[in-house]
Amino acid sequence: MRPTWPLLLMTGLQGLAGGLIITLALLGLTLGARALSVEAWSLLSLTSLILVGAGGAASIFHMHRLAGARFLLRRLATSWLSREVLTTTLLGLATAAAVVLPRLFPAAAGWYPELVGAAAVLALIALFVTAMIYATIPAMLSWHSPLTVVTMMGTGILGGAVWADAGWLLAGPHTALSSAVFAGLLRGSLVLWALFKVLQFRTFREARSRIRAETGFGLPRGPHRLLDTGTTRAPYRTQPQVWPSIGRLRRRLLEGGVLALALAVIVLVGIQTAWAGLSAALVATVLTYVERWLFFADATHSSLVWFPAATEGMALPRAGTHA
Amino acid sequence: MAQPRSVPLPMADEESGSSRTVHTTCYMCACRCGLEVTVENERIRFIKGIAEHPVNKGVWCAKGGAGLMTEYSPARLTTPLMREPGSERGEGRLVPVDWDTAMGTLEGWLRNIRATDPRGLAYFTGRDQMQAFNGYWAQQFGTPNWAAHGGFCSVNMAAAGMYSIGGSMWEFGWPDTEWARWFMLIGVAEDHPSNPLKLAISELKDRGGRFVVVNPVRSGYGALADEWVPIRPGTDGALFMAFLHVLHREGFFDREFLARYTNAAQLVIDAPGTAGDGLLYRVDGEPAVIGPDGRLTEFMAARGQGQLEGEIREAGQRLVPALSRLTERIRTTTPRWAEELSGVPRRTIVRLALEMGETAFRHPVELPIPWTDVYGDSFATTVGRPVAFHAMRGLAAHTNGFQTVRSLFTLMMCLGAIDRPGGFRYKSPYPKQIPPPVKPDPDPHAYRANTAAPAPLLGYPTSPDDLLVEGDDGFRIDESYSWKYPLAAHGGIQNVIRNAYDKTPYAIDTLLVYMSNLAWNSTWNTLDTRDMLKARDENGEYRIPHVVVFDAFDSETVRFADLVLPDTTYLERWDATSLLDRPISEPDGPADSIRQPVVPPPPGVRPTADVLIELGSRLRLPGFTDGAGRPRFHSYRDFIEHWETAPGSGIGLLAGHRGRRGDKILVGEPNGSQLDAYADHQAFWRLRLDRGAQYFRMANRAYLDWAHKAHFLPSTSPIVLNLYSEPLQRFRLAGEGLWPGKKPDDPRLRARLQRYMDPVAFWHPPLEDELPDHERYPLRIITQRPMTHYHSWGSMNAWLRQLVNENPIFINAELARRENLHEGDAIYVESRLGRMTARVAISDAVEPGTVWTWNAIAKGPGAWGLHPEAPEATRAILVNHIIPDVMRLDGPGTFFNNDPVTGQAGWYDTRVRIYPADRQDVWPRVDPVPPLPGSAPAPKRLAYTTRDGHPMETIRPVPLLPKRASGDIQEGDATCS
Amino acid sequence: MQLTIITDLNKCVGCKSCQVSCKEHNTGGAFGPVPDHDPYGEPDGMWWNRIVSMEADTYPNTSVLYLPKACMHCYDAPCVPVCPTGASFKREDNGVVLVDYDACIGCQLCMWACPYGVREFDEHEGVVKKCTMCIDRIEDETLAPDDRQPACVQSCPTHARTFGDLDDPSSLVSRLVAERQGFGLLPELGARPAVHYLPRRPMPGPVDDEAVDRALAERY
Ligand SMILES: Nc1nc2c(c(=O)[nH]1)N[C@H]1C(S)=C(S)[C@@H](COP(=O)(O)OP(=O)(O)OC[C@H]3O[C@@H](n4cnc5c(=O)[nH]c(N)nc54)[C@H](O)[C@@H]3O)O[C@H]1N2
Ligand SMILES: Nc1nc2c(c(=O)[nH]1)N[C@H]1C(S)=C(S)[C@@H](COP(=O)(O)OP(=O)(O)OC[C@H]3O[C@@H](n4cnc5c(=O)[nH]c(N)nc54)[C@H](O)[C@@H]3O)O[C@H]1N2
Ligand code: SF4
Ligand code: SF4
Ligand code: SF4
Ligand code: SF4
Ligand code: SF4
Ligand SMILES: [Mo]
Repeated sequence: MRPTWPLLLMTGLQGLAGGLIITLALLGLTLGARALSVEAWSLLSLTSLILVGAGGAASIFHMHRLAGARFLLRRLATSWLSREVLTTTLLGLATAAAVVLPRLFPAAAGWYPELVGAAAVLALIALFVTAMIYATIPAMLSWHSPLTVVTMMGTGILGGAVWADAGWLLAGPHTALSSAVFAGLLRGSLVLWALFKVLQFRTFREARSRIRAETGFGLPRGPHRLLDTGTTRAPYRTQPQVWPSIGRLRRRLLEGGVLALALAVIVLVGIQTAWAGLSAALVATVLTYVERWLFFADATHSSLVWFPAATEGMALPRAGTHA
Repeated sequence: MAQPRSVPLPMADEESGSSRTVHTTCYMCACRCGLEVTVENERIRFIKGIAEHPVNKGVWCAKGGAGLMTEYSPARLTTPLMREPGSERGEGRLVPVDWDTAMGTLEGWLRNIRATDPRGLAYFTGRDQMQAFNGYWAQQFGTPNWAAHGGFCSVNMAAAGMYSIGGSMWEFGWPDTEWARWFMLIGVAEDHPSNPLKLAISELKDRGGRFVVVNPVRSGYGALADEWVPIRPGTDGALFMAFLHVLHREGFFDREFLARYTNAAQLVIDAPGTAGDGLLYRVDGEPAVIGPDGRLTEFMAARGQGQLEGEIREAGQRLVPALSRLTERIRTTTPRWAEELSGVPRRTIVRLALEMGETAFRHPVELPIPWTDVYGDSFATTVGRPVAFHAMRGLAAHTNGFQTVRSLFTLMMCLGAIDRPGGFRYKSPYPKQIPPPVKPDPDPHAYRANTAAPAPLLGYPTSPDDLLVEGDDGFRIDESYSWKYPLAAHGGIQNVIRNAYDKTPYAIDTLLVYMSNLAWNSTWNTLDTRDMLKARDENGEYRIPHVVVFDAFDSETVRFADLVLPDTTYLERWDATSLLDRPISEPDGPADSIRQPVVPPPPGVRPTADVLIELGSRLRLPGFTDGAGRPRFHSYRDFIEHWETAPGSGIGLLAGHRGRRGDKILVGEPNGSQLDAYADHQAFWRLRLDRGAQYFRMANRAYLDWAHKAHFLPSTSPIVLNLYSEPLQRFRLAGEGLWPGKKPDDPRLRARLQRYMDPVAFWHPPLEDELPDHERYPLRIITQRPMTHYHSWGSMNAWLRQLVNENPIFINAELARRENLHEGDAIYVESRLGRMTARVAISDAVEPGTVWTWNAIAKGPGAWGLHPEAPEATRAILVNHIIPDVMRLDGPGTFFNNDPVTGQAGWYDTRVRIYPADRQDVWPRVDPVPPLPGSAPAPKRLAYTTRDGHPMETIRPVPLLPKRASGDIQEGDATCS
Repeated sequence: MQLTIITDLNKCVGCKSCQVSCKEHNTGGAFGPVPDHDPYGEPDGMWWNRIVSMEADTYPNTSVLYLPKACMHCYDAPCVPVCPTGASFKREDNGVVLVDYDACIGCQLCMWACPYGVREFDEHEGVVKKCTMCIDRIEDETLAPDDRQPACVQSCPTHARTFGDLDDPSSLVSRLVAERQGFGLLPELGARPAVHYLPRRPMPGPVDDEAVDRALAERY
């Protein structure tokens, strides 16, 4: 699969925004409006709004024909992408409400937990819907799994939580419950997330062996060898689901990188200083993007059976073997 | 889930603008399918097959459909060009000139040659489809040095057929898949001939026929084989001889057929060491047989009862039936022997022979068609042996190809499968006499200044006295019809450049090349050949003083020309596919067709035939001017309609719509509206023979009488198939010094004649295998044609070139394991000539001793309108670099890498070894050529449509060259604009 | 009604006529153009029908197979429900899956959803294009009957391709699929392709093994 920047930005930013708002809502739920200062509430929800806004803006660049945009909601009944447009827009609107209402009506400042909570519900839905776009495509052999939903939502929520943690550290604790408890919970979740990620790496690897030459070629006996894709070259340019394999070594490095970054976040989150918090947020953001890039770049599509150069990363495009 | 609904679609009637359809004949390959071309808004919208057409019956191939991209290719030449003064030949620096200058220059050169020694013109044509016209032109010019492409193509197939059965494969005959139950395809890549063979295979499959493919590679048609028989290249002759061995032993010879319709029963004189040895014994000039009564009888008088075994003594000579010469020979050609040579298991050989025997004799086809043979015997039905064969260059392109093809035709004769249902069938005007009675004039003094040559320039010698030799030396520039290549029936285009460079047998003045890419993919030893074209002599003059190229596209050879004359495309000109040429006939009767302009040519371009006709008039060539020197023809269109083989003969290029009113066929006065009549009839004409005249035509009374009237045959006599070839024996006698007429002195020439001019088919190793160090090179390299490309001319086509634009070397997986080679590895492929790089592609569909790649995909950088870094120039390989052109260069006289009988180029004999390369790029590589002056920059995006309102800014970047006044540029003083 | 094309792999020689005739018709047709990128340099063009060539098994038992691969016009076309704009749709009346370029936003999600890799993206126009079953030919009543079939079916030099209604059990395509074990590609992905292929059907020789053994033992 070819990772494109609008997609990376869109899904990454939407995840962070959702995660942040969900974390805020959790804080509000457990600690009430006094969990944070009014400034912190306001600043953090504004951050979320900016993130979701930027993600939304990036998604525009993913559309190659804006004239069709007016039909975007036409397939709500079946299309997770249609639903994404709706739910993410609603998320944006709810977040905007949480940011704007207290400003317009200072009296509403006490309603932060409720406002943020409403946005968080939408965020959960939006994150789920977005993940379902990817998880429901049987042809994407790597993605077609509940792991896609778990890890994708996890990345967003935890990334947002690390941002929230940083904000909390900057704004200073306001209640009895120490942010250390929160940090502990966060670190535990990150470990869990990493475990899911490892499972997913395995799923991705296995997906490659699920490319079925027997049913793709209609020839039962192997070994199978593809000689020609119809044109001398595999049509990478016009087939975004076909992309030259990123190679075994690079893949290993990137997978290791994802886990190493996760470890760094876990460590940094434990330090509990403002600077460590900020660093954790930064590293978590990088982590989000490396993870997402790998998610797209390493995905295996069923049609690779006819474009093997892409999977094998061969010097010569004309031949490949699927034993 | 899905939300079904309809959207209104823009349909044809919404499309504004003009639309028309034109019928014509395709030229994207030599198949010559009928096309219906739709033109919309004066651009080509769609090309499709004509459903009623005899060749393609409505279908069309990838090349045919992509024709519109050929029409609009940026590689098209749009103006005459001359080598830039001061630049070297081969640098590719050309400057535009106007037509007056171009014609004036060429006329000057030619006039000078013709007035001094017409042999100074060597005119060679490649993928030519106007051989009848071109040959006539050269004959009128008076040079003996004209030939079409057969020498580097398939003359082994053509000549072996003509000397065996008076017909051959493809244009001359055809496997009858309508009735065949068992079909063997041998050494045919993917496209020879394209649509007809595909239709035939489809027909066979529909009827549940069995399809066996003999080929070192399994691909294309071979993929569909019910059985693939991988074979070592160059050994098919052994396989056929082994089939004959088994068939004979199993009693699967059609003895009746052999006795009645072949010369198997005719008596051969067995008198070694005498001048009569091996010749047929004649009584009153007629070949004789041992009659049923055991007495000597004239062949025809024996009415097919001649004995096939035994011997008789007459006038002190021992006479034996010709068949015994074959049966003697095949005694030792056992399946075991053939297995050793070919790698085909003995068991397979025996089984296949039994399969053909079983099918031919236990399951004959019987059609309810009554007919009468030349003996006056009438048959209520027509019985066929439903085993068919088709073969091509897998046999022909070896230096043992002539005898290999002879053995295939021998096999077909023994099975009785010639011109019978389910077997091989002739296409009109074949069968011809064996061989056809046309010969070039063998007198060197016949080719004189300002005189037309007295006879056609190509033909079929029947004795050494017909050769074009002076002593031991040939006097054609390509040494055709010399002792080296006695039956070079199609000439030897591949020999021309080296001989012209060597000035052997003499120097020439002008090399005129029409439609051939002689500096690249149709030459061998490519780099040296290019150097020979560029070489200068002691005086600093080019050894080949003038190179003139007629081409439609910017080929590698165009860049070696001193003068380039741009041709139209096939969609822009009048043309004829003629019965006098390579016809499009079908087995059930003669057919021919025309091309007509579908769209107008670009302004700077002229049909080559029109140019040749104008030159003919300017030079006052006899056939082209009348007594007063006035032009006889104004254009090729005019020529097609009005030219006759002889004044008043009533025979011209086209057989349909003849006679003043267009109501005659085959023979009739010229008709000034003939081409219009063709245009009104879907651009083709066909005639179906009576059913009773469609089979056994070599001996079918009704057919022979008709064919004589149609002027296909000079008499109504039967054509007796040559199981035994007396003409070959005559050459052998010359080799033995026993022939009373011409004979060579050089012992090497005599040895060749003795060995290879064998009157009975036999197998000998390809000549390459007789070189001392051949075992250093254990593999053989061969090429195959991709179905989507016609030689070099697919790469300038925006669509076709996407289908193949780079080519690895395919090697067997076992070989790769042994040599520790992996997919994509860079290797050297080395022959005795040198080495080149290639990339490995591993395949299980190739015989382990063979490596192969696609033919003619590689291009010189900058040629063909392509970017110099295009994959064709940077990732594609041309194996011609390492194909040797000569056997060896020691001693006087050069033997080319040619079949010793016909002079056919031995492309597929090349032996190689492979090993890892220390470089990753394509090598050797030639220097890039600069863009042609005036050519537009290549578009980044091509979105072809003919609909109104869609400007085609990306199509036909017609170079707008500065218009020059006539005479502006003289030879030698042109400057780059 | 479900229109489809059946390809007989026992007849397909991989000539790519159908690949080119598809482009030839469609680049100037109602759903064209079918563009090419860098046509005279490093080319990468759009093809709605690609002939894939492959090998299987080992020497000398190697099979070589050609597989023309265009839109399968799936019964449960996964490309359709994922499309947010409804640009991708399946025709109720004949089962043909089409793209309405006016509604397409070029998000390319349908390209991921399609298991067969047959949808191609036109960057210039920002829309996804693909095989239309030549709907502009088969529904154009001004054309001659012979032209009212897909270009790729009409051109095929081995007549390996058959066009028809798979939902009509008496149609030729239905009978071919039933009688010749027609199969669809990647059935495990559940798209239920309408396009089917007929497998190889090797024709045995007329001589049985014992006869060969006998001949070999006795004579050769
Ligand atoms: N698409 C396309 N069609 C063409 C042409 C083209 O360039 N492109 N060219 C036209 C011309 S000029 C010609 S001459 C014909 C040639 O048509 P073919 O004769 O079909 O052409 P080649 O590609 O030379 O194929 C030779 C075949 O013989 C096999 N072969 C090689 N050596 C041997 C051998 O020793 N024994 C056997 N049994 N097989 C062997 C090769 O593997 C290959 O499959 O095609 C014509 N048609
Ligand atoms: N290694 C290897 N080499 C081979 C072969 C092989 O199998 N392997 N095959 C051999 C055989 S069989 C053959 S026949 C030769 C063929 O070799 P060539 O005869 O050289 O054939 P092409 O490469 O097709 O070149 C024909 C030229 O005609 C030009 N042309 C095309 N259309 C027109 C037109 O309308 N008018 C004019 N005037 N010119 C036109 C093209 O631009 C091109 O320059 O190659 C031989 N070379
Ligand atoms: S087979 Fe040759 S002549 Fe026929 S359509 Fe194809 S390219 Fe044209
Ligand atoms: S690219 Fe067009 S057709 Fe495909 S899913 Fe997106 S909007 Fe639908
Ligand atoms: S083949 Fe692909 S594009 Fe065609 S209907 Fe099926 S899923 Fe859709
Ligand atoms: S049906 Fe039409 S659009 Fe589809 S592959 Fe065939 S020619 Fe192309
Ligand atoms: S046109 Fe016919 S034979 Fe050729 S590739 Fe297509 S389906 Fe196969
Ligand atoms: Mo040829």
